[in-house]
Amino acid sequence: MNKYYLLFLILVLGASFATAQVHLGVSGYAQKLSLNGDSPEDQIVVAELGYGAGLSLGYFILPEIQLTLGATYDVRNNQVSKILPITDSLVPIGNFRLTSYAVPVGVRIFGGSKTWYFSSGVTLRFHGNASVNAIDSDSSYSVSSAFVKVEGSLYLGFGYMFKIGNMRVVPELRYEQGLSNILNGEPLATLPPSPTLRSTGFSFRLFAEYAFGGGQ
Amino acid sequence: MNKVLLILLLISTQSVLTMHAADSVAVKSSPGPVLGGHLFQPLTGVPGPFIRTVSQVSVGGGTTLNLALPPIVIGDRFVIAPQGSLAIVSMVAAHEQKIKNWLSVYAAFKLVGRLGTNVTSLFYQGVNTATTFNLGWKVKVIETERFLGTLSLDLTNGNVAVIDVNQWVRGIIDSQAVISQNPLIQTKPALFTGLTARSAYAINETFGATAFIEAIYGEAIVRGGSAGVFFNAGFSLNSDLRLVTDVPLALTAGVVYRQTPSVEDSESSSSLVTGSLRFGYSGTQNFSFGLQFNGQYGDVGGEKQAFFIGGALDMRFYY
Repeated sequence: MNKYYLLFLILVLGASFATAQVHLGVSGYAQKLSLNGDSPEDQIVVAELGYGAGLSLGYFILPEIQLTLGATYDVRNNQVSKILPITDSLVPIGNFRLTSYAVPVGVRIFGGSKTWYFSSGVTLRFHGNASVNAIDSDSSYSVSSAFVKVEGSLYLGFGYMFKIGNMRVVPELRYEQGLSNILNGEPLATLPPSPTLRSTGFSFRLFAEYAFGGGQ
Repeated sequence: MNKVLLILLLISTQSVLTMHAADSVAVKSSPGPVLGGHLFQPLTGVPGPFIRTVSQVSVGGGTTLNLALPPIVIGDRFVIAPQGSLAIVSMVAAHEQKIKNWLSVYAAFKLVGRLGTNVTSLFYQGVNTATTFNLGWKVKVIETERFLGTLSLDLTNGNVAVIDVNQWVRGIIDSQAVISQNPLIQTKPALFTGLTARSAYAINETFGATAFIEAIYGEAIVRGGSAGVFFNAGFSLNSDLRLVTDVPLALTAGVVYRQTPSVEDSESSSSLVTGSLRFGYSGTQNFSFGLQFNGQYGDVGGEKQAFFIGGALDMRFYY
């Protein structure tokens, strides 16, 4: 009985790899993720350029649908500015930086030409260190306790797959919307009651993947 | 027997692994929302099930109908009984992109403003504005020659700003000072996610019907309020008079029941019903142009009353 089931499993897996493809590679990106929601009184948080890099994995379950999985080191930068009264002009007072490990899980759905695609999925970020660097005093303060450890967000994007032999070079533009409040919930005097802060922004990503078995 | 079962399993598994996503062949491809030979007209408030590439721009406005607001009383002194109307302006810009015949993605930006039209209503109700950005996916579930059913999942991220003059003045009176805990302008971010089942049925080439039912989970628009689950549903009936009178005119009537709170109708303390009538141009599948009139009937101050009428100009371009 057991050898028949083992044979069945081997044949199914073999057929799976014969009809589907695995892509494995690296990815790098630049992003502008702003913190949307409640900012401290008389202050505004503006997105600055962030970045990330890591590994990417893709698996075609159908000729035009690819499951994707990634693991990246993610850095988000924002600038905190004070709003001056009467003139409403902005004076930068600090630079905010949040590092995390991001795990995006999603799908790529390819168009008829099987080169351009639409992507969608969720990204889990496991936050590490959060700090604010005060501009005037050039000193850094840790604010990690003000943020939750895990953040979930939804992403939408589109990209194009360039084929160079068995290599796949894929640029992608992605929009991301945070689903969860990243504030820790502790009341702060400078924030409104029940403060909410979510990530929103764009990122431009470049994937370099190797297609095992060639083909798509 | 075990060997026979194993062979049958292998054959069925190979079939599943090599199966492609099937596109429906029941309906001829058309840029516009055509089903069973009937050209459907979109009705704002009743989301359509068609998977198309379309861009939309809508501009609308309205006013309340002699809305009776509670009198303002300070202590035991009656100060004023506000009368007057509230004006509401809205603008929607949206785009839906067809990815496959069974999948599309859409995004919409909406701006709503509400303010009193005279001094007393402006003082009592202030100015409310809301900006929302909506993203969604639409997947075709079933399609025959006359019936189409789709499911959509969307995410709405919004920001509501409230200038509540009445509340601000009361706060100053109570605290006898202008304090930061009592701001004139209050903002509140809000996130909603919804699952919608949409359908369309072509009765014949002249008449068609669309319907939807929606479940939404979202944060309260008012700060401190609790998140909740809301249900919306609606129905519309469309008639293309072009085939009967040779005039490219379409009449669409619809009714929508909504529980989801909104800036436009925050006077209503519970769910409300909106009736709509749209006059549209049905001369082409590539372009939809219509003028829609809305009337809302809801519970205001514990009493059922029709309290809002409005109109909207809606334009859609199908590619």
